[in-house]
Amino acid sequence: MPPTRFEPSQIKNKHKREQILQKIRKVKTQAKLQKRLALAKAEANDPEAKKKRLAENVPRTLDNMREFDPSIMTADPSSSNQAEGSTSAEAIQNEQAADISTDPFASYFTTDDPSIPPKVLITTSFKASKTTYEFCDELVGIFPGAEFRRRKKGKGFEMGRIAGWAADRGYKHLMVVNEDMKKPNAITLVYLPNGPTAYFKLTSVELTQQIFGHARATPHYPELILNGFVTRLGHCVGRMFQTTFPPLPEFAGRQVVTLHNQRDFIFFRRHRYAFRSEEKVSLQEIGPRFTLKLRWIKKNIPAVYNLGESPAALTIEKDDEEDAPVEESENKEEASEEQPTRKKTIPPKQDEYLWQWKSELETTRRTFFL
Amino acid sequence: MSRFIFGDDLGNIKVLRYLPDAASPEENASIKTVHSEATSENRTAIQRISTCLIGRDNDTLLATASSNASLALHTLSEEDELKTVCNWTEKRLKDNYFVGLTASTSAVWSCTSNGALRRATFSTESSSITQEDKGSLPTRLRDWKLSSDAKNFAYGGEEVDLSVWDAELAFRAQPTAEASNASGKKRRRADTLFHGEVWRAKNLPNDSLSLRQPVRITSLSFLPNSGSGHSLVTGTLGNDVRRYDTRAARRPVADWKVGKVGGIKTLQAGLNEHELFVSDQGTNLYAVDLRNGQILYGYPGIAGAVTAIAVSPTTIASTSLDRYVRTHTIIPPAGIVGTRLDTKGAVSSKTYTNCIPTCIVWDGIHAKAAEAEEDEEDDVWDEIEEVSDGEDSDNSEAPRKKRRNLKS
Repeated sequence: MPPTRFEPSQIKNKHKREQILQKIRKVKTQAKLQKRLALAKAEANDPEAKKKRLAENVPRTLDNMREFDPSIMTADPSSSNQAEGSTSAEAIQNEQAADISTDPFASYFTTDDPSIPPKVLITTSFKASKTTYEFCDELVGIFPGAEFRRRKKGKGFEMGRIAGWAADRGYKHLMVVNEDMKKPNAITLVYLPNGPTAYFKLTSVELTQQIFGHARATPHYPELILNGFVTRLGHCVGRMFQTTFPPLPEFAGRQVVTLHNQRDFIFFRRHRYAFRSEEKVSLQEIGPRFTLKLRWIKKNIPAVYNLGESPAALTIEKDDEEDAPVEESENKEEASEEQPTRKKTIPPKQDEYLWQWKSELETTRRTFFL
Repeated sequence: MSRFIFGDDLGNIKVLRYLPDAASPEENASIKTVHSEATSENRTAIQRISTCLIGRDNDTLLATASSNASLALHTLSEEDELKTVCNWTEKRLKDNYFVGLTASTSAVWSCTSNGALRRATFSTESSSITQEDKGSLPTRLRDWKLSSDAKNFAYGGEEVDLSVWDAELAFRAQPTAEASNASGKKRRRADTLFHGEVWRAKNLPNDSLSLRQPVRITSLSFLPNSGSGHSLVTGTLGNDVRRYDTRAARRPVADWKVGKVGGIKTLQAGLNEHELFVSDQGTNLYAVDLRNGQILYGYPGIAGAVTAIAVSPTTIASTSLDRYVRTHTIIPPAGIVGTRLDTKGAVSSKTYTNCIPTCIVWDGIHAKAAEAEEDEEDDVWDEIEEVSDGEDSDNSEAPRKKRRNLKS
């Protein structure tokens, strides 16, 4: 009778079982090592074979197995499944282009002087602590047009109201760093005067002095790199970050800010680059390093709920315009000359969510939204 | 097969066709653009849309109101061809927006948030409005709806309580006798109804701290199933849904907290009895039972606030701020109040649109495709010849013989 094979796992004695299994594992790893060495030797002489092997064996990762999202902005819509079946690829592209060119950030691209940095107001949540103030110091150094103000306590200092005042004074952004347990944990970025509000969770904050071998920042306007913003929502977020920096960078400063989006996490890095030769560049990291994750985007600036305000009386507007249009226009000209009134931005009474992260939306591990 | 028409933020009008019995779940909904707005610097968003069926030809009248104060009337054929009938503008709009638009077979009613009411009478032959009537309503309106028999309309808004007006009297100028009386009195009671106003709601009593409840109506709807123009339902900024009966009392008949986040965005009464669809400013869309205010079920998987809901007998369609137009299945409420439903409504299709869709409406044409298919099947069976089989059992022989007699 030929010897029957039994599995090592049937050995009840633990020490003996471990011994046998270690022997088997060693044999296997040795065999694998020999195989790899032989392959490396063969490919050292034949680079074509190596290329062929690499081309055939592309590993599947979450990034390249990503779930299809119809809002991914592609240069060639006809290649992917079209949601709107009967319209042509050109019509879809025109529509997407029109949508982007008329979104709230469009005015940034049509400014007269691209070297004026957009004004950013940076503040914290009420009663912030030292770590948050240090982080805000770093933020003021990142954005060329940034200013820091302490946040006051009370009913009249809600985020929506502050956004209204900032909008009236010509600020383009309001950035509120929220604190929890003595550490900054979130950033709310509001585009003014009535643009979207985005809320990001802030993690992995490392300040400049904590980075070993960091470079020194200069006040030059940085260049901007935005990676991985693929979907329509991603475009919205990417453009929002783009509008915080001046449109025309100063190349003499050799500073670059990178916002790299991978798997819905946005990594912020700031580097200084130097050309060591015509082909080689070296990077030295400046400045803080942090990670953001988008939680929600609201359509307008933050709402202010004032439930206790006294009710206004019912009024009916009088309809004068139709009767005397000529007189009206004359009056209007006089009025505008007399009072160059500052526009008053009133915060809305309702928040409308453009997008909100919900765990039920992540149906698979390969679903990403930005 | 249902057809819905929606407008979006750039001014395009698109048609969504939903086929519940399509081969694969990806093909059950398709969108076609019937009108593309030329791109300009500012967006001319379509703020309100309304349809009305014309009797002949199964054409649909489509009225749209845009953010640049222009209103238009189109006819949409069954093959999705759009033809513009007439255009007109609402000059009193200024910085406000349209809160209500209804099209009937002879006139189009529109209302803005600063109270500019207009009824434009048209005829399909002429390319301009034949008659325009204007009315003035209070400012700060947030929603305006015309009742199904077009005799009354209702509005509500910020510190503007729910009001029902007579549709004809609203357009007549306020008689001068009333004006002189008012100037004679020292103080005009804030409670007196405007000329043309039929009924005005009263605010809820003060809460447990004796504080006045703010009036912040964000949306309202007539309930078509219960009586003509007597039952209304409003949604407020405090996530409340209140039900009113104009015959019973001025205070709401029922007050329920339905929404979760940010206040009620839009309400739409369902075509089944006691059904109401509610969406709030967060990502929630619920079906609510009107008898006890309980949420029957919600629709999962929506990432942005639902801006508009359109109801048809078999499905509902919704547009939301995350650029998707979805259709949903409906489960009608149970006969006995409070019984749990076995199945819940689900999202049956979702289609991506390139711009944010703002308003959606059902075109009113009932689906007849299923019945036609059944008739075809019967014809095929009738044409097949009967073949006799001697081996069959006795049971089948007798009915077979009968059938053969009929055939011959």
